[in-house]
Amino acid sequence: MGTFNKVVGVDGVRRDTVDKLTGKERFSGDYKIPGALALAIARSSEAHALIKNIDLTKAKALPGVVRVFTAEDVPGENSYGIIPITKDQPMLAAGKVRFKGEAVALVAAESLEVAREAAALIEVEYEPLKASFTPEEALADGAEAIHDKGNLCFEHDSLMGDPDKAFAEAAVIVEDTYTTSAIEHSYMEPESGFAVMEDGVVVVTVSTQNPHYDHADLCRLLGLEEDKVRVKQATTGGGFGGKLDLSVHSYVALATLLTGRPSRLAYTREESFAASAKRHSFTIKYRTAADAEGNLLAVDAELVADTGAYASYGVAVAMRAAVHAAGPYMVPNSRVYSRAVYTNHVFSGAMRGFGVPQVALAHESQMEKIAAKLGMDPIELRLKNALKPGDKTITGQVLGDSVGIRECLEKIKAVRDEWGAAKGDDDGVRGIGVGAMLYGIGNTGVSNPSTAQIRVNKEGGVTLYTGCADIGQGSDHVLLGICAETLGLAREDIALVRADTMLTTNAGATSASRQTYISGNAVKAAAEMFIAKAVEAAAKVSGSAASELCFTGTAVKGPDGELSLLEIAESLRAEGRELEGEGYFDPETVPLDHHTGQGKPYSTYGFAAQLTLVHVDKATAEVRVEKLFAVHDIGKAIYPQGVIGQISGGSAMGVGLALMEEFDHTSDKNFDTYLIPTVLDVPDVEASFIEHAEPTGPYGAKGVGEPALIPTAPAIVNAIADAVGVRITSLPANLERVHSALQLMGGK
Amino acid sequence: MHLEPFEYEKPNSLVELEALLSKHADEARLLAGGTDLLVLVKEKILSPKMIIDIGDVAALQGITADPAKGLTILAGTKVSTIEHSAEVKEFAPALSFAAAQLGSSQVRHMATMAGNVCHGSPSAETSPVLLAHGAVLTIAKAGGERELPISDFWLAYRKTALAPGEYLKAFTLPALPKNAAVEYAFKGLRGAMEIDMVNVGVYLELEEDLETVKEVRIGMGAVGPIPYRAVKAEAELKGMKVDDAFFAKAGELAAAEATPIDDVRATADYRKKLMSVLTRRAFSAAFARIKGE
Repeated sequence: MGTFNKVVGVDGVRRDTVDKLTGKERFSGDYKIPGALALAIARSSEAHALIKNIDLTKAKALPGVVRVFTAEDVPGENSYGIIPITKDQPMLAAGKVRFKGEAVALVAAESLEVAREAAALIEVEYEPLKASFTPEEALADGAEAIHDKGNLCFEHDSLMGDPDKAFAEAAVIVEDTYTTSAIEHSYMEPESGFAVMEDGVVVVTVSTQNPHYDHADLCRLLGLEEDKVRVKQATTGGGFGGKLDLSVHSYVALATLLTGRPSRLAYTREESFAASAKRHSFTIKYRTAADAEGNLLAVDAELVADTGAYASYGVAVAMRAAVHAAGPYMVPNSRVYSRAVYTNHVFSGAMRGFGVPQVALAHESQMEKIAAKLGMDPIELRLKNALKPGDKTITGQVLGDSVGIRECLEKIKAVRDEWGAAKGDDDGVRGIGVGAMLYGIGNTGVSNPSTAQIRVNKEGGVTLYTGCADIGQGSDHVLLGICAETLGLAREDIALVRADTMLTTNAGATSASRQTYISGNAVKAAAEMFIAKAVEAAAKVSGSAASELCFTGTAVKGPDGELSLLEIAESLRAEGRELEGEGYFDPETVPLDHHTGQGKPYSTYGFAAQLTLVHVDKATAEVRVEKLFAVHDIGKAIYPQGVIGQISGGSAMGVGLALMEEFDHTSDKNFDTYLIPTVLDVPDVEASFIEHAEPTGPYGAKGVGEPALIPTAPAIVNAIADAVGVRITSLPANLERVHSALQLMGGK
Repeated sequence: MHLEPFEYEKPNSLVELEALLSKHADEARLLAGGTDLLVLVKEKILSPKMIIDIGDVAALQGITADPAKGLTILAGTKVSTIEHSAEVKEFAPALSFAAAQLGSSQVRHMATMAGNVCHGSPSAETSPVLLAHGAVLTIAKAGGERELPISDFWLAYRKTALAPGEYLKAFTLPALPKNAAVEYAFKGLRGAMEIDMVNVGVYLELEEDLETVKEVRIGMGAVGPIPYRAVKAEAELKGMKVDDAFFAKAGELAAAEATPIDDVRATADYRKKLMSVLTRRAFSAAFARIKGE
C-alpha cells in the first residue's frame, strides 16, 4: 500500500505510459484470435445511386470464402446513429448508396487476402442519382433527396433580445462570410476490433470512445437482447470524436453471430479515410454590432454545416455551434440560425470541438474587425466584453462562478507585452494574434449522466468500475486520481475495471470534454458513498458511534482498534449487502427551446485564450507559427501534466486546422496527400492554465480536451492579418490562399 | 497487401550481382532500401519477377573524399550515412542538408541516394544538389563500366539511362574549386515528411575578384517531368557581377525555364514563383558561403 499523499493536482508518470512506450499494451489488432475469420468490405463506387442488383456469385465461389453478407442478412433494424432522432445510417447499404465508400457487402473468409479478393469480385449494378456535394446544391430546387425526409438534416433557431433594433442603433457593424474545411481525425490507430462468441454472447472488443452506446446500437442492428451482446473497449489509439460512431463493430458482430466463429476487422488507412466521419465544413455568415465604446450589442449569424450522407452527430454539431456562436462575450441581442445539411460526401460527425472551432474563427475575426474600426486594442475590446459570473449567455443562461475568461485575457495581455512588437526579417513579416473561446462541458441541453462503482476486491483492496473509455487522453489516470484522493489512497492502490458493458455501467461518451467533470463527479460520489457505507457498517460491528470512526483507505479505525475492508465487507454480506459505493452525476441542464434556443445547455463552461506569433514569408506566403502561448481556465487540474498535454496536442491540431488541413473528398486517400502538422510545423507550445474552481466539479475540475484546440486557428489567422494586413476568411490559410491574398493587396 | 509473386536474391559480391543482373536483365529490380520499390510493388505499379537485394554487397558501401578526385559515394550508402558523414559535411554540405530533408529518420536509415536518383522522381531531394555539383555517375554491368554526367541520366518521367543489366555503382562529386559553393533550397507543404513542391540546387563559382560569376549551375526539381538544369539561365548568368540584381535575375531566369504542372500539391503558377524565390535565396546563400559569411 502506498502511503497517503495528496493525489489531485500532483504530477507523476501516467499509469499507461511505460506499457505504451514498451509495446506491452495491447491494442485490438495485437490480440491473437485463433480461427478468426478475416473480413473485408465491398464499398460503393458511387456517391449517390440506387442499387439494382448485387451479384455475389464470383465472390462466393472463391476458395476460402466462408460467407458473404448484404443488408438482407442484418437480423435487426439496419439503421444506427448516436442521436436518437437521426438513426439514419445502415451498416450495409439497403437499396441505395449515399456516399462513395459506403459499405455494400461484407465478406468473411479464411484469410485477409481471400476476403479482399472476394470483396473486389462483388458486382454491384447501380442506377446513378444526381449527387449533391455542397449544402447549396443539396438544398436547391430539383436536388435529389438523399433521405426520404429531404436534405435538411436539422435546423436550430436561437433568438435573444431585439437584434434588429440593436443593429439599427449600432455605431459599428462588421460582417463577413467565413468558411472552414472538412477534416480527417487522423488518429494513429485506424478503426479495429474483433468478436468472439462466449456462452451465446457476442463479445466485441473494439477501439472506441463509447462502449455503452455501441452496445445499444449493436443490439438494435443484430436484433439481440441486451445480455446477448458485450462490448469491451480495447486500448484505443486516439479518437478525437471519430470513434464515437460504429465502425468495425457491427461487421465483426454480424459475422461472428451468423457464423459462430471469431472474426476480426481493421480498416486500412484508405478505408478509414473513405468511410469514417469528418469534421463538418461550415459556411458562416456573421454580422456583429457594437456601440462607439466597443460594447457588443448584437450578433446575427447564419451557420450551414455539410453533414454528409448520414446524420451521425450532425444535430449536436449544428446545435452546439449555434450555442457558442457569440464566443466568450456578453451579447445582449442575438439571432443565430444553424443548419446541418445532407450531401453525398462521407458523413460528417463529431470532431474535437463539435462545431465550436468553426464558429470561433468567425467570432474572433469579427472582434478584430471591430477593434480595427474603433481603433481599440483587440485584447482590451475582448476584456471589455468578456463574460463574468452572473452574466447571461446568448441562450439566456446565467453563468455560475467559474468564469475565467477575464483572467485568461489578462494573462495573454501580459505575455503580449513581454513579447514586444513583432518585427520582420529579410524574408518576411511577423504578427501577433489573439483567439478566445468558451466551451460548454458535456452534451447540449440533454441529460448525459455518468455512473461509477467502487467495491472491495478479493485482496481486500478497492476496485473502481467505470464505463468511461480512455482513448489516450488519460481519463483512467484522472478518474483514479479522484478516486484515490477521495478514499485517501494512492492510484496504485486501486484496481480499475474500465469500459466493459458487462462489468461497468454507462459513463456516457468520451466526448464533449465531459469525462473529467461528469464521470469524475460520479467517481467522487461513489467514493464518498463507499466511505460512508464502510463507516456505517464498522460502527455497527464495533458498537462505536460513526463520529468516532475514521476511514483510512484500507480500514476503518476506531477507539477500539480497526476493521479491515474485508472484515467490513463480510459483515455486510451477512446482511445480504455489499461494501460498494455507487456514484451518479448528471449535469444540470435545461433543454433549449425549440423556437428561441433559450435554455441552459451546460452546467459549466471552460474558457481559454491563446496568443500566437507568426512569420509570413512575403515571397512564398509560407506561414510559420513561431510562438504559441495558451492559457485555459479548467477549474482544477486533477493531473496537471495531462492538462498541459491536452493543450499542447490540441494546439497542434489547431495549427493543422488553421494552416493545412482540408479534406478533399475526391483526391485524399491517405497521408500521402492529406497533410497534418509534423513536430516541425508546430512551435513549442507554452501551455498554462488557471484554476477558477467550478463549485459543481470534482475538486473544482471542468474539462480541457476540446477547448485545447478552439482558440488556436483564430489566433493564427488574426496574427496573419496583423502581419500582412490581409484577413483570411477561409480555412485553412494554406500557402496558396495566403499567397493570393498577398497578391490581391499588391504584395510582392 | 497481396503482392505479386517474385523471386529474391541477395548477392554478396559485385560479381554475383552483375551475373544476376545480366541473367535477369529485363525482369529484375534492385532492392536497396526498398522505401520506393516496395511501395510500387505493393500498389502493383511494378511487378518485377526478380528482386535483387544489394544489402550484402560490401563493395557498394562507403564514402571517400579525395582532394583531387572529389567525393565518391558508393551506391549502397544509406541516406542517413550521407546526411551524417563528416566528409560530406565538409565537401558537399548542401548534399548533407538535402539528405537530411528526405523522408523521415526511419526512411533515411533504409533508403539510399542511388535509389532516390534511380527512382527518377522529379521532386527527389538529392537530385538538384547532384545536378548543381555536376556529379558524375559510374554505371556498371557485367564486364564493363561507363561514366555519365548526372544531367544525362534522366531521360523522361521516371525513365533513366540505365540499360538492361546495368546498375548505378557510384556518384563522384568533383572537388569544388576555390571560390565556389553549392546550396539547396526547397519548399514543401509542411516542415517534414512531404513531397517538395519545388526544390533547387545551385552552384556558384566566382572569379578571383570574388564578384564576377565564373560558372553557375542550376538544378531544378518538381518543375518538369525530370530534374534538370536551367541551361539557358546558366549561360546568361555567367560573367555577371554578383549583386542583388544578379540574385533577382537568377530567380527570374530559373522560373522562366521551369515548366511545372498543376497538381495536388501546388499550381504551376505558384511553383514558378517559388522557383524564382528559392533560386534567388539559394544564390544569395551560396555567395555568403563563398565569402565566409
